[in-house]
Amino acid sequence: MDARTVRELRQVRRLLIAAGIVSAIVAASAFRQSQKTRFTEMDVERINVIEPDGKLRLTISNAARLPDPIIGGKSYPLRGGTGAGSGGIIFFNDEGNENGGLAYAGHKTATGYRANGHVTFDQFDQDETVSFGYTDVDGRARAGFTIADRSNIPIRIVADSAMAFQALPDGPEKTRRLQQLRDSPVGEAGKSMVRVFVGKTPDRSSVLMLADPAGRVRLRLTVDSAGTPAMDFLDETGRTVRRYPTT
Amino acid sequence: MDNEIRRELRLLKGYAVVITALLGTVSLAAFRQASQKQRFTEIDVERINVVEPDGKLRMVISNRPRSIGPIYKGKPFGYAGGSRPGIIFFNDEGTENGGLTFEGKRQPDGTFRAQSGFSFDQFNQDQVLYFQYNDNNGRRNMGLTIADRADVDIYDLVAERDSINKSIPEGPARTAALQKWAQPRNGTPLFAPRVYVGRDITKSAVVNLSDRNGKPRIRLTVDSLGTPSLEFLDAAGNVTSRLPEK
Repeated sequence: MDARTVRELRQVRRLLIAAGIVSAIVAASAFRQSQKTRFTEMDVERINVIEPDGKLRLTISNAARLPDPIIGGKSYPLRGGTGAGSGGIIFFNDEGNENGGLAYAGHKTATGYRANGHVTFDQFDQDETVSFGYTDVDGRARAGFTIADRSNIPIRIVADSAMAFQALPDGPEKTRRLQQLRDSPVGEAGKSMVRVFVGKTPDRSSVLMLADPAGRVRLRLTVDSAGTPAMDFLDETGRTVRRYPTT
Repeated sequence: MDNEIRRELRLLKGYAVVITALLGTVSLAAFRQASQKQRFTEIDVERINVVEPDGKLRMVISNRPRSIGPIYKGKPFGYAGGSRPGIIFFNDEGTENGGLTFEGKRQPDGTFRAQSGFSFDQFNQDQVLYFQYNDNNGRRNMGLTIADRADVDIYDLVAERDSINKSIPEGPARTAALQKWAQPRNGTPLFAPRVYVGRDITKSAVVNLSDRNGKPRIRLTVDSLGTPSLEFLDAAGNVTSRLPEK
């Protein structure tokens, strides 16, 4: 064998390497799938539906990967209330801020169980204003449709204050500061003034309640756990001023 | 010389074996991925179509630009997509029958608009059970509505309206034709709310129970000043009875 043969063999090797690289790129692009793809079934822990610029529009997630609330483009590890410990779907508005969700959870506890399921819509830059949901602790269940008025102060201000005090070490000082926040105008902005509730309550009544802008019930239709029907008109202190039937 | 060639050949053989095995595995996995059940930890996507085995849409989950417009038996109608981020549902015939959409944005002038809704449609018609939040820079209403819809196919209805708009130039003739088009069909208005439970733009908490023409006949209210009342109304909207009595 001469030098020419060796040269040819080396050429073959180079060609083979080139072919290998090309094939690898082709195979890798099959995995990347940036275009429309069809699956029959998939298991996934979280799906992010994103806008072309990468902003979240919706996440479908198990409980472990459920995103923290995003307010003003910033993530706040403060999830409480109906979303805590739930799996489901979180919605985001055109600015990428959370504006509602469909969340559900249920598990056994030392005393029995806890369960909830909710669809909620948030007021713009605020918190839940419409809620269609069920909450149950050991059979004490509330289920219904709720409409609440919210402050016009952005929830970001409440969340920033809450984050600052949450960061304090546990103790009476933290408890006091958090209570102070709740009682302050900023804390008030975090409150829900329920205006309408239609549903059943933990005392086993079925009710329709209409409330004033401060969230005080002023008109109530009830069929209580004993089956007694009533319609009450109330004043702003919560006292029944007229009750029907009048007998 | 011989040694050099043998070394080159050994290298070539080794390389060929390794690359072939690797390519085989990778290609197999790439092809299997498309047809088998897949497992992912997390994925980013702009739109998901949940389809029936025959390819008919059952559900579309989408961002704004890729969102789907109205579909009737697999055919687009009414208006183009791109305006409904969220989830749209379809019935067994591939016709839209509900949705869950949500949006909100501050405008350059500082004002904002926001809207969220969950709705279910009458068969081959439009929404008859829905709850919504609508907000135009603080003028807002939130509520649950149950409505009647005329028993007329939405596809035909939209086609009739579009043909009026196309064939008659703007003016009294078109207005008259559109008014006629909007008349009740077989005694049922095209749309008549029957139940409303909500908080309206006057900041009142209200329950309306309405007649078949959509006129409230029982109205429970706690207005923005906190005044509660129960009213019975006639078909013309006059209050005929009111509680509590003065």
